[in-house]
Amino acid sequence: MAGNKIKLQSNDGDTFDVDVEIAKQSATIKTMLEDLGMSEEDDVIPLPNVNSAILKKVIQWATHHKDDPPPPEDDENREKNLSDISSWDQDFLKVDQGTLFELILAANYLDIKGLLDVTCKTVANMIKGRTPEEIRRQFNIKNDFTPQEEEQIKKENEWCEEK
Amino acid sequence: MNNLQIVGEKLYLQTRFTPQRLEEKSKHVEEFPSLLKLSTEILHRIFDYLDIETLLFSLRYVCKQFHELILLYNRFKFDFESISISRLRYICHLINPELVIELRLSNDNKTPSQIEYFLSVCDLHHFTRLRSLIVIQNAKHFFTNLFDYVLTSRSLSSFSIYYLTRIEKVSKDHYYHTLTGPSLNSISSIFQRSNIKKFKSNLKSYQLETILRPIQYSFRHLTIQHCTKQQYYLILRYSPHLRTICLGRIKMNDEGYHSEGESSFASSSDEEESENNELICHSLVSLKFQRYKGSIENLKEILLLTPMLKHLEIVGQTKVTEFVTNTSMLKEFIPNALDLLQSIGVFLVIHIEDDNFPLGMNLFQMNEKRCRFTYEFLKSPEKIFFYSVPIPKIDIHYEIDFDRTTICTLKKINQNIQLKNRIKSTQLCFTDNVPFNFSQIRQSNGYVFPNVTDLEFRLTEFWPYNRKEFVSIMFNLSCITKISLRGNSSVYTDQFISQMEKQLREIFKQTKNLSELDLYSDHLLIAFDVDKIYSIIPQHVKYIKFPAVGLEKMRNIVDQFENLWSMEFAWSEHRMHRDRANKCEGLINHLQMKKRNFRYQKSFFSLLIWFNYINSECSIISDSDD
Repeated sequence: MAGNKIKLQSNDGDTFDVDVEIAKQSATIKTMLEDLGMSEEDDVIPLPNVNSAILKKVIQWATHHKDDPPPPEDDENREKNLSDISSWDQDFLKVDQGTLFELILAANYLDIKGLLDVTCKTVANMIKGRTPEEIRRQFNIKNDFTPQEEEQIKKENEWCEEK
Repeated sequence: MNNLQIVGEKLYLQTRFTPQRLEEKSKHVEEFPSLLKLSTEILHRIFDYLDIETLLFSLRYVCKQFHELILLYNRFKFDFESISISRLRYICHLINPELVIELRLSNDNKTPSQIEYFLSVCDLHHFTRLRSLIVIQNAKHFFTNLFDYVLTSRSLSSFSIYYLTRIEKVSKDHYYHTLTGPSLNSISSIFQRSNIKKFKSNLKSYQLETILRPIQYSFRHLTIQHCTKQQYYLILRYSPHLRTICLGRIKMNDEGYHSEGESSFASSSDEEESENNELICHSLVSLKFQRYKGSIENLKEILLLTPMLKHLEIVGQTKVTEFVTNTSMLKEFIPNALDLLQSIGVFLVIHIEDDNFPLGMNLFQMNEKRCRFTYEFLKSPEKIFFYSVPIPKIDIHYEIDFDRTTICTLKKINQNIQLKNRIKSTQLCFTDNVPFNFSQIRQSNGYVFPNVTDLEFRLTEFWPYNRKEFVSIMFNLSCITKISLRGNSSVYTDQFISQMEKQLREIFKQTKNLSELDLYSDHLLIAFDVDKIYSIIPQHVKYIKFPAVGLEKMRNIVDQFENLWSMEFAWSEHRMHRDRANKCEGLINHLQMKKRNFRYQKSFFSLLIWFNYINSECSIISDSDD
C-alpha cells in the first residue's frame, strides 16, 4: 500500500501522506510525478507556497471529491451557475476570508480546477448583487476615489438611469 | 515607576498614528491574503461568475484598483435579458466590443424591442471575439443582420435562438400556443454552417421537420426542445462529430399524441429505414433528457444507439406501474450496454394510479456506477419524486403545502439537501398547520431552499404572525427575482390585511434582486388599495402583472407605478368577454392624456404596457386582439 502514497510537505515543514490518486487531482503534482520522473515512494514533494493548515484543508477537499466523475464536455452552465455549489462544499467553505483566499491561492498553485472553481464561486457569491459600499464593508476595502472622481461616478450613474 | 508609566503611556499615544507605525501595521496586514491582493488572473476568474451589472455598476465603483481592473477584463458576457435600455446604451458605450465573448439579447416582456435598439447602436461585426450569441425573440424583421453575422463570424462557435410563445385564437373557443420567430429556412442555413459547433433552441419537432436534411452536420453540442425518434436517428446518422445532445423529450412512434401547433407529419416507418437505424452506433458522450415521458423499453432502444455514453441524465415523468415493472430491466441493461458510463443523473416524477403503491420498493441501486437513489412520497396528489444523488438539474415547480402534503424529506431538515439545493421555483401555501420546528431549522446551516428564485405564495384566509420569520429561514430572499401572490378567498378580514401588509413589507425589504411581481389575484387587489400596494413594493421591481379589475383602479395603478418598465393587466377567464375592449381603450386614452411615453400590446388574454421606451412615442407593437 505504501507504493500508492506520496509525501507532501508544506512550507512550514509538516509532511502529509496522501494517496497518489487523491494527490493527482492537482495537475501540478500530477506533472511532477509523471513528467519529471519523481518517484512515489521515497521523494517528498515540497510545496513552498502552501502552509500546513491550508494543505490539510486541500487534502480534505481532494479526498472528498476523489470519486467525482469528470464533468461533461458541454457543461458550460456548471461554471456560470453560482448556486451550483454542493452542500458539502458550502459547509467546507464556511471559513474566514483569509482562509478562503489562501485556499484560492493554493488551488491556483496546485492547479486543482474543481477547488479553484468552487472557491472563486464562493467569493463571487459574496459580491453579486451588492452595492459598492456593501462590497467595501464585506472585504474591508477602503474607498480611495477622490471627491472629484466620486462626482464623476455620480454623473455617470445619473446618465445611466435617465430615461 | 509612576512616572515611567505615565511617560510610557504618553509615548504610546504620541506614536500611535505616526507614519512609521502605520507602515508597520500595513506590513502586518499584507501578510494575510485579501481580495485586492489576488492576482489579476484569479480576480478575472472571479469576474467570470459575475453579471455585467454587478461588474460595471457595483464592483467598478468600489475602489480605483477594481475601476481599472474591470476595464481590462476581456471575457465580458453581456446578458441583456433583464436590463434597462439606458444601462444597455451605457454598457455599449463603455466597453470595447472586442472584449466581449458572449452576448445575450432578449425581446421579452421586460425588454421589448431591445434587439432592434441594440442593433441600431452597435455593429455586430465589431464583436470580433464573440464566441456565443443567444437571442430570445418574437420578431422576424431584424434577422437579416443577425444571421449575416452568424454566418460570417470567425469567432462564433455557439448560437442559441429561442422563439417566444404566442397564444393564437383559431376559433371562438379554441386557442393554441405557437412559437414565433424568423423563418425556418434561415435556421436551416445555420444548421449547415460549419463554424457553429453548438446550437441551442426551443425548436419543436414540427419545426425540425422543415430544417433537417440528410446532409452532414458539424455540431458537437445540440439542444432542442423535442424531436421524433426518426429525427433523432437522422441527427445521429448525419452528425458524426456530435458529443452531447440535450433533448426536452423524444417522441416515439407509439405515442399517439401531438403537441399543440404541431403538424401531424407521418414518421417514416418502412422496414429498410428501421434496419438502417438499428445499425447506428454513434460515439455520443453525453445524453440528457429534460422531460422524458416514454417507456423504459423505448429508452433502452434509444440508448442502444450510443454505447460510448459517459454521462446520462433522465429528467421526466412516468407511471408507477411502468416504473415498478420495468426498472429492473434498466438496472440490468445500463451496466452491460453502457460500459463506459461514468455518471447517471435521474429525476422522475412517478404518478400513482392506485393505493397499492409499494412504499418499500426496491430502490434502483447502481453502486458500481457510484450512484445512489432516493425518493420522496407526496401524499396528495399521490406521487413520488425519485432521484439520484447527485441530482441532475431540474425545472419543476416544487409545492410546499403543509396542510395536505407529506414530504418525507422535510421531516428531517438535513436530509436530501441535494434536492432542496436544486429547487428554483416553489409554491408556499400559508395555513395554520406548519410542522416545522423553528429551532431545528435555525440549528441547520443556511436556508432550507437556498437557491429558490421564483416564489409563489398561495394565500388562504390565514396569515399567521410569524410567517415573515418563517419565510426568511426557508428562502434566501436576496436571491428571489420573482414573487407571485395568488389567492382565491373572497373575504379577507382587516386583521388578515393588516398582518399581511406588515409582513410582506418586511419580506420585500430583503428581496433586493426582486424584479418581477405577479399579483394575479382579483380579491387581493380589491382588498388592498393601490397606495398601500405601492408603498410596500420595492422600487427596483421592473415588471408587475395585475389582474384587470375596474377601469378606475387600473388608471390609479398606471399613475402610481410610473417607475415600472412594464406592466401587464391580465383578464381572468370569467371577465374575458366583458368590457375588455372598453377598458383597454379607456386606459390607453388615459395614458395619452397624461402624455406618457409608452408602447402597448393587446392580446386576447392581456394588455401589456411598456413605459419610458427610448425615442418612442405612444405606439402599438402589435394588436392581436379579436
